[in-house]
Amino acid sequence: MICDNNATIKRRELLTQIAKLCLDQSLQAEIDDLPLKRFPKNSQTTRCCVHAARAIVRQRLIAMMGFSVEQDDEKKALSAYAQDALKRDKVEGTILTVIDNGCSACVQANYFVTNTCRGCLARPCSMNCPKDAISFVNGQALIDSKACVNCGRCQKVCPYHAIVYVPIPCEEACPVGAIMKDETGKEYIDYNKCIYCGKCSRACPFGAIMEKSQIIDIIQQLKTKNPVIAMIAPAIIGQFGGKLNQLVSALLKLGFSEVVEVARGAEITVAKEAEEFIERISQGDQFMTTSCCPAYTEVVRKHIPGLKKHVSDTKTPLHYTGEMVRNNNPEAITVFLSPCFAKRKEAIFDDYVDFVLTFEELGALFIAADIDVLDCAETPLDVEAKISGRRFPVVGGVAKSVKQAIGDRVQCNEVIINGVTKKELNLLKAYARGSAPGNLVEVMACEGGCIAGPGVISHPKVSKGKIDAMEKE
Amino acid sequence: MKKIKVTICTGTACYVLGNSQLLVMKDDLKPELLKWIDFEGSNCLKYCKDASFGKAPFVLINGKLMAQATGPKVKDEIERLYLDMLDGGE
Repeated sequence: MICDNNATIKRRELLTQIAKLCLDQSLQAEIDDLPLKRFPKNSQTTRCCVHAARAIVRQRLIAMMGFSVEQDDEKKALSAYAQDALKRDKVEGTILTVIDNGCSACVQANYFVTNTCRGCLARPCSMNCPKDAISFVNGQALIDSKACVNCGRCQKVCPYHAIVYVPIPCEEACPVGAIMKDETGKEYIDYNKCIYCGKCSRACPFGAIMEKSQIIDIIQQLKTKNPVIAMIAPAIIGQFGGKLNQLVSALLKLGFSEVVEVARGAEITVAKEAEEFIERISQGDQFMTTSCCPAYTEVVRKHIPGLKKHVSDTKTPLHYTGEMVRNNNPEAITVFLSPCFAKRKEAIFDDYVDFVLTFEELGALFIAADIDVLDCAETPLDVEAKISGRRFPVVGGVAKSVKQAIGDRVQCNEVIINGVTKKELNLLKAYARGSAPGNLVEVMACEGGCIAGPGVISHPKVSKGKIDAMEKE
Repeated sequence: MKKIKVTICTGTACYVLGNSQLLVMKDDLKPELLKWIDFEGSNCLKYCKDASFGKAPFVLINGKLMAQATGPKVKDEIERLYLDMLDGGE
């Protein structure tokens, strides 16, 4: 998530603090004091009082320790959660969680009458309301949020522009209608619909939707003698400043025993997907879509099952990389360094991937361990990935590589779906009826590609610039 | 006229807490202003090690420290210095 707002900064600061406690072996001893330290008495807060702010910090810490806030036992101390976190093998359950104390329970109805309403004689708002949801109180229109169906007619007809549209940011961002209000007005996620794209989490101005982090589990692994291998997503290029080889040194300093580029797995994906494409098209298939974006494959699984037969059966770059690492070293603990939330879901079902750490969490870990990437010497990678794999995280990159591998063996016309919103979802539904405007469809759930994923630090332009520069080498 | 020097700390703490955004700031500035600015990225300037300097991310503009820097704050300061320079008629 690019760092252009205070909720992001505050989350990163807190992640850094929890990582530091964990590195210093003082998590259990000191975590109970953390909410108090963040908000001592008389401190400024955006919430109603320091107590509310502390309660929210407590819930954020629960999420950062990898637990669902939905199952929070309010009597349980943070130190008890820490104890459980340090003992377990893995984070269990869903990958997202809603900080219910943090959720501000946004407006019930999206239309709101401001006090510029003059209570006019014409009253087109109430005349045009199909649900009789508008009454007049103290000479001004008032919308009954329970009766309003958000049709927006009142706003269009008001001669004074007195009615405003107030969005519910998370619901508006969700392309699949998976987040909604419960009876108290707070949001909850329907996991039968959720595709784990992370758009709700980015959109919420209160930072109320969080990932359940595995940062503690990973720090614990790094402290052991186990070979812990960092599998770096190609989107990591451009994330921390400095050169890729400096980042390798920084990761080794953190305690990883080896660094492997997932772009190498992407090379395998390219080769297999190209062969698969030729086979499918030769058999008369209309089109094939890529399969590397886990949020997109969830879209197909949960919302457009008819598209399934068009999705490539080729595995993701992460899978092939994990397989490669595990074959070389069966004892290896594999950690995927990720720009993406949905990859956590993919990792749950892939035995080759043990843990997932987002770039944001990695950044917090670097700060906590006092490792500065720019101050690190360069360590060359054992094997450098080729550009055909490294360009995967930039939108259009997957199709470009696959098309190059296909060559002139079969005519290939690519179509790029750059980000999945409600609009693209409808487009994909139309493709599922049998035809697309090309025969190779690349789908990226995030607009811009993985370099614009919910877990990134850098502005996507920076990452794109660096990857584009590699294209020219 | 002497150019305005903007030093963006790209040490990991500053980078993670927001300075990565400042690296694309050039795209938002007018060309006539841009030619009077010297942007440079810098290794960790160590301000993050001492709380008395304030909070990361840090930026130096003509040697003056700005804590909790944001794109709009930096841009505002640059524009102010630029106008001062024009007034000074150097």
